[in-house]
Amino acid sequence: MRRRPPLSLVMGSTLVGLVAAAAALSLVWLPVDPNRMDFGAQFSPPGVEHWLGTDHFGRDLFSRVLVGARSALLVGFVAVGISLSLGCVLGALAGWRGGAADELIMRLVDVLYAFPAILMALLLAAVYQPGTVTAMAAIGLATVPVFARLMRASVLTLRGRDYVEAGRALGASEPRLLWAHVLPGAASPIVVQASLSLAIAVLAEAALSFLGLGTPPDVPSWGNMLREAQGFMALSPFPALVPGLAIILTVLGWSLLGDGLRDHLDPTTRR
Amino acid sequence: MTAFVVRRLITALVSIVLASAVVFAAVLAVPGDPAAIILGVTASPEALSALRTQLGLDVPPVERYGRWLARLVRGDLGTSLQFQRPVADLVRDRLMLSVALALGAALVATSLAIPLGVLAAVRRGTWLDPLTVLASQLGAAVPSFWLGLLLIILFAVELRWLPAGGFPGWEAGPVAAFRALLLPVLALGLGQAAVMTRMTRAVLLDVLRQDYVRTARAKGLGSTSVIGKHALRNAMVTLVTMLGLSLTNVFIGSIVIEQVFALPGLGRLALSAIGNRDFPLVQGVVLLYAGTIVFVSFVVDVSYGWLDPRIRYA
Amino acid sequence: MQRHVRWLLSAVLTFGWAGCALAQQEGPTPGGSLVVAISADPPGWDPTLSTSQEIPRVTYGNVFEGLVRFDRHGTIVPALATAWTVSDDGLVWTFTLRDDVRFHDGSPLTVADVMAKFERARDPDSGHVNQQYYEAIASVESPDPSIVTFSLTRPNRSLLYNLARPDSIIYPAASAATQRSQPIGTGPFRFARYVEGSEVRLERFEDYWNPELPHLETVTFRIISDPNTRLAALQAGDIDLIGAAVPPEHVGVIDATPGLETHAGTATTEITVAMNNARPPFDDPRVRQAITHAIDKEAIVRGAFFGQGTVIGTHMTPAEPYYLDLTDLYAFDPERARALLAEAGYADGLSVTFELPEPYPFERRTGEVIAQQLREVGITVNLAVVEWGTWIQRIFLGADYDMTIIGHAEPRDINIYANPDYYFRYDNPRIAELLAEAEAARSAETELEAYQEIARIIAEDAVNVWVFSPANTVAVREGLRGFWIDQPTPAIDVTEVFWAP
Repeated sequence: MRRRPPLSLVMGSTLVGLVAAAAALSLVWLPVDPNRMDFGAQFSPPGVEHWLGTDHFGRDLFSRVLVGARSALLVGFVAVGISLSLGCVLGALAGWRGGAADELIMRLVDVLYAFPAILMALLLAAVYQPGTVTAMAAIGLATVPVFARLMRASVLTLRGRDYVEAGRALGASEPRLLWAHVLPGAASPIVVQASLSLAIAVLAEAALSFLGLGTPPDVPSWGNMLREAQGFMALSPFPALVPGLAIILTVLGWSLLGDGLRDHLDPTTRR
Repeated sequence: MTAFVVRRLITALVSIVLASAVVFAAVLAVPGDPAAIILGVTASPEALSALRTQLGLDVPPVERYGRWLARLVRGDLGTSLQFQRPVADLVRDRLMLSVALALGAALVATSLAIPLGVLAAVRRGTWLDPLTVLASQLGAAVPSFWLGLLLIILFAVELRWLPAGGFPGWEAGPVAAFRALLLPVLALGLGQAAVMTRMTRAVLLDVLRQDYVRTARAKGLGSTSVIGKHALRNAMVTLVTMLGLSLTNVFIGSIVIEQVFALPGLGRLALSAIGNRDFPLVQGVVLLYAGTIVFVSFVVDVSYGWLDPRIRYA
Repeated sequence: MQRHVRWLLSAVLTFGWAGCALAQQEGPTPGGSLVVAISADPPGWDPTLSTSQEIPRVTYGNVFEGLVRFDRHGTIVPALATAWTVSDDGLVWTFTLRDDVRFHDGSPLTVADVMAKFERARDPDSGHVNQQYYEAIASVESPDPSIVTFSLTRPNRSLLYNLARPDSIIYPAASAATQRSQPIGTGPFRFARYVEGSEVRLERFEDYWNPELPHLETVTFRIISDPNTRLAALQAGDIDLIGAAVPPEHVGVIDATPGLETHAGTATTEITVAMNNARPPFDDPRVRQAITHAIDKEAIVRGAFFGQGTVIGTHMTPAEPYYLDLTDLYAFDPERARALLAEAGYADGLSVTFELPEPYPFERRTGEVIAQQLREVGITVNLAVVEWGTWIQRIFLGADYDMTIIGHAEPRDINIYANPDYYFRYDNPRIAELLAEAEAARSAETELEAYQEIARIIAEDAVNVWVFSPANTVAVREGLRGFWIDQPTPAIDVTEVFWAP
């Protein structure tokens, strides 16, 4: 029986699709060079020439917000990639081995709970230069524990299942068992969490760029655009409104997608 | 109960020690000589070696960590390179503002989220529920610093009801402090309220589905009484966790909000320390934030055990 | 004579007369408090230990005084010295000290304090900055408890000017070690409290030598790094005065706000794109010329600064008497820039790192536009924002950089081009010779010629790109009187400020 996909799934994937399309489009076509300054057209409101208006240098906000989608997606994917792979490996290891290894790994992972993304970024930025890589690493490391916990829990419940025990009795190697039987069972909560973590990562990237700890200042990322717009809010609201709305739509997209996936994949949690 | 608290306390202490190791190791990982990074390439060899001694770089890392930890226990966080004052003093001056900001935001979030979440759960099936869900989902997606910018435009620039930023100091009186903190607290608290509304609603729906609530309802108890006595009490355990989580969320979130509203709190102290390569100050502030998070989760765990005796023995 | 030209010029240029005349009409009212916005924490409070302009902005004239000082028009007037004379050969300067001056710690000012100050100023190990100002001094003596004489090794026309600078302030002989954190001076306000990152509070000094001053009881300098927050704080009534560098885009907004007003004055700041003359590719003058040709200064002032500034062509501003208009030399010409780059062997492009100082929004904004203009002539620009501490250490002191941008706010600072170790790493002995000529000049004309020759040489060598001199815009609450509008030296001197009844 096929269930109708929940509304949140439809809305979420539409929004995320839009952002991805914007990023892809920005690679092949842009209405205006996003860095071209036009001092004859500063603070233009949205119009025919500049669809979403211009900023304090007369740069086209539409083009810049399209380019900004790249940073939002790139930083998000890399950061979540880091936390997902690191978290899953650690969680699987802890759950599968159990005992002292479990205790040790989870104790270490738990320490990361004490360092949310911004705090981690402060620490890393003090040591290395602030920048895109530092931001990605900080966001990635900070979100490791969620994945590790999820993975460990899945492995723990699946480990005792009959078909895994049967496989073990038949002499299947441990990595093979883990790969063939346990991991597929853990996949759906991980995918859901990845989507939710992407929402967090987009917010964190924007905050870090806003603080000057993220994407370099001359790259049009949404956080950078907001930091620059801060000085000119009295002259035109659009340079602040446009990237803010872009962030909201993207974050909303990922979190709706995550919720929708959860409802879709596991109807029992449906609320 | 005592045994449970002691056990949790030990775990918390271990976490803090591990967190301090992370903070210490981060600076250990600085590429190159921290003293040279701080002083620049023109520094004289004498100045470099003096700073190395001040930073304790002339002893092996493990011993250095031991010393650092020993001083930490006595409340000595080292000396700021930039201000030439004890880090602990600098932190003490700023801590109150960040804590006030976080507590205020948590208060705003809780007092909005619990009634709204309960209402949405109870009025399930009416228009109120999906509206609350949608609003909270949207609210959770709004960056707090962007909300802060909008609040400044509206209430400080346009209406001129409230200051746009800065802090007059506690001695300027409670009214001035309240006025200075109101917008930052709202910027920080509203987003958190959105997150918490969803959680409250979910928790309550779970509880309302439980058998004993159904029984109570079947026995003819009024809706208010059911929710008040049975449902909320049983949801308390989860709500306390949620409260702890949101407290740490707003405490960390205050770093960005302080920057938006130019508030002299811990976050701005940390940012200026990064700019000036003031490693002892960065270490101190980051460790304080991390320690607070560990502490809050310890308190949450303990109250958990107090609210639900079964957990103590788990 | 030279200086008279300057006075006249600044008098003509000054818009400050209005405020001053008004002040005399209404008569100052004593009392009240003032909240002033400043943009950054200074690195300590001792102006003799750091060249940071944030220190004198708060302390000059308010907390600290020297023998002489600049007034609001840049005129040198008596401060701790009542009078001075100079011998005919220009080698002996004699100052008469006031006898009624007390420091904020209650101790009286004595010649010993003055002598100790100039010992420190000439001691290479004391950490005292800008020691070149005092190079010509051979000895400082006191034949009488109220007289201090400076014996010079050579005639030094700029000595009096240098004695009026914030570097030449005098504090108690024994207090040098603690001035960084606990400044003690002779000014009309004493330093009361400093909370890092938040505010510094000054309070009226009851024993100030001039019983007429100051008018205010307390002055709070609130540290607000973001100009937008400063604007909003002014509009919300939290601060009363933004004493310098109001962003041009805020002028219209402030003027439209009831109860607030702006005043445009002059400043001696040159927004300078500094290039590392010792490092390839900037060691090739053609590259530096090409970069100058590539930059459209007019567009920057008009577009990014709403016309609130003056385009310049060398290290001098129209607010200074020896100003020379060299803006036509290497004027904006992208084609010429490309050709010069090709000639220098960079036909296929060139990659440079351009570092912008984090705390200075004017410089950052100018830098962003310049980066884009350089890209348009085929230069790959890696833009980076560096924190202030890093800028000072690595770029300014270490000269480890390609290109940066900063506002040189100090007046009369063309002498920096004589120092081959300065962060531009410009090595031309001719500049030092000309500087010596200027110092020893017998007439103002000879002095002027020497200075203008320096200005011309550095411009022809395209040592740096001098982009523009921003107008000094001051924003105040209506009813405030007696504040400085021009910035003859970086200072927010509130000595004569009062609230109109």
